[in-house]
Amino acid sequence: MLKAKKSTTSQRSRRKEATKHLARAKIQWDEACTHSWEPAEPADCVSKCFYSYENALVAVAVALGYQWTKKHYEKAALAARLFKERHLKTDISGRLVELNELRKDVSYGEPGEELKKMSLEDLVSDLESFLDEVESMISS
Amino acid sequence: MTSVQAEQNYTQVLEGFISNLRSLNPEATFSVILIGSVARGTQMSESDVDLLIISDKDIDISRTIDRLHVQQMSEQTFRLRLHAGDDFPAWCVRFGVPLVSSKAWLTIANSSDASIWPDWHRKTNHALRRLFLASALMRVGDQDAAAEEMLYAVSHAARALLLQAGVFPLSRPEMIQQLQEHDHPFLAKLLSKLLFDDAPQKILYRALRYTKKLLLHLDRAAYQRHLEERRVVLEQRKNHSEARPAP
Repeated sequence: MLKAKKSTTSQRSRRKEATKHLARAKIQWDEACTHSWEPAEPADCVSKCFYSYENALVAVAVALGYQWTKKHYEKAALAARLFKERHLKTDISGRLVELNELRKDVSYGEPGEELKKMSLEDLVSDLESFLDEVESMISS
Repeated sequence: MTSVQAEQNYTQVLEGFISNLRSLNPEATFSVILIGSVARGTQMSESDVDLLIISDKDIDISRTIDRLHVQQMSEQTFRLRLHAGDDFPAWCVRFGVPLVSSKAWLTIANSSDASIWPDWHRKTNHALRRLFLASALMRVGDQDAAAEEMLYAVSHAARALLLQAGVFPLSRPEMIQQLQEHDHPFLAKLLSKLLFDDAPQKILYRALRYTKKLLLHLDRAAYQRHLEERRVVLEQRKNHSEARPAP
């Protein structure tokens, strides 16, 4: 179980670091949008969305002084915890697990069958809302 | 954790998953095949447990926050991919460990389809896709994600080389040895660094350059095709930016 880390860095430097992660997430979201248009590139869209969600989550963790690790499943657990502790309004843990699965299917070579069922438009739109939420949380 | 404890842990996870699958889908007929490094016994402490499910209908798989990765497909899709020269089903049918065997799986495993040799050209396409993604991630400074995608790119390129040489690629840790045995020491070293170490930026750039050169050498036409596709994407992005209202 991840524990809240007692912050040793100033709030200002944490916010600066968080902003950097959020900026990265926004670029990845922007690229994912392009991949979602016809002719769509679902594999790239899903991968970019996944990394964007993760960067946005790390931005929140950094801003709040929570420990985080590189492991994808631990990031999903952290997302569930941040939602439970009401730091986030949206629980993205399920979405992270889902995107990680889809992304891994793609990484084996060919996109899996589940990728065909995914609405890319909804995916990037949900991500955009989440990025807005994270931005207002960090700047508050 | 000792290897015996790890094995018990995997067994418990798999038994729980299969029991859950049966109760969620009482009407379905399916096979569950253990694949990836766990099937080969070469897994690392952080390896995912990879499973392939072949079923006669869409089945409900409960998603959990653990290290279980499940890929589901119909028998028809599995066969189609096998015949199309995809190395994933070819790997599964050669090295997968059936945990639940349905008639469909036994039929495939005992047919001549099981010996279909994958088309290595497909692997260069897979490698190029991951390479471009890794490169894009490096540009935005997402080093962790770039390292992960680079590992996929190098692995796909290594599989292309081995398949072209008539050697069936095993799991990623085993491929390091296979590459050394077939006179690709630099690629073996890169794969090892990406797989076992925290690859610094210098290694990522080296991997990017080397893999690009290797893929160009293997399949120049595929490389040109991907560049053209990329040009279209960049054009779309430019139009998108121009159409967007100023902030």
